[in-house]
Amino acid sequence: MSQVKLFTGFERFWHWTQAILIFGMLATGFEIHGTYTLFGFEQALDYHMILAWTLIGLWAFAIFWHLTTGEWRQYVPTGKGLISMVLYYAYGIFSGEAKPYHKTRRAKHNPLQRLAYLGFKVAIAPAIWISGLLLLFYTDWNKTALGELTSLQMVAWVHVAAVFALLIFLVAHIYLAATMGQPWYALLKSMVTGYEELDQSK
Amino acid sequence: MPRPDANPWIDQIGWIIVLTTPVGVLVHGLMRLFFAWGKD
Repeated sequence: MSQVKLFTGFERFWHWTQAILIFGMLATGFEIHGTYTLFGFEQALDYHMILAWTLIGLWAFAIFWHLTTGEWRQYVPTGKGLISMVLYYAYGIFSGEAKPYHKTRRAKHNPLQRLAYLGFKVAIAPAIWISGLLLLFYTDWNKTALGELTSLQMVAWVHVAAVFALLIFLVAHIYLAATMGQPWYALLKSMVTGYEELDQSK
Repeated sequence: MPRPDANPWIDQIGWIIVLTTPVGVLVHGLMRLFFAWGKD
């Protein structure tokens, strides 16, 4: 076993800043949606906008980083080993089987993780920010051809549905990230320190 | 900008799934603890 640096300083900064911004957007977003009252509608909307533009800025840097470092390859989906990961989480983990995937610096996510993170990056996140920007700039497009195709109502529903998908992703992500390491907190720790103990003989 | 109305279907189905997920996670976690404990 040896200590391997899996997450660079930028990745960790991006991950935790994104997490804080997303939780802030969830708290303000559900208030805007009418689920509860915390700051008041106007204030919640102001905070939501500030957090949204900050997150869009962070994502611009993250996309640039992924493209220039080639790290986008970590999210290319693969069917190889996918079924064995599903079977491991559904059965093998209870009977004490070894995890059927050995991560390396070049492939640090198992096939299920790749799919989940790719789904977040190319489906859930874009659905949220595209619908969010459409909501923000509604008065600029409602009298154009786009206004004929869709409505404010429809865009708001897409925004909310995508947020529910994000919440499901978050619950599963936090559970797996916080408890699946060896020891249980190892994955969480690696996203703080950048390092994880890996068996490189495999 | 007018404030769009919530779609009750999206809200109901969304909350049901979102609140069911932590229950599933809890059951999965407890089963892991139970089977690990049984082995010791």
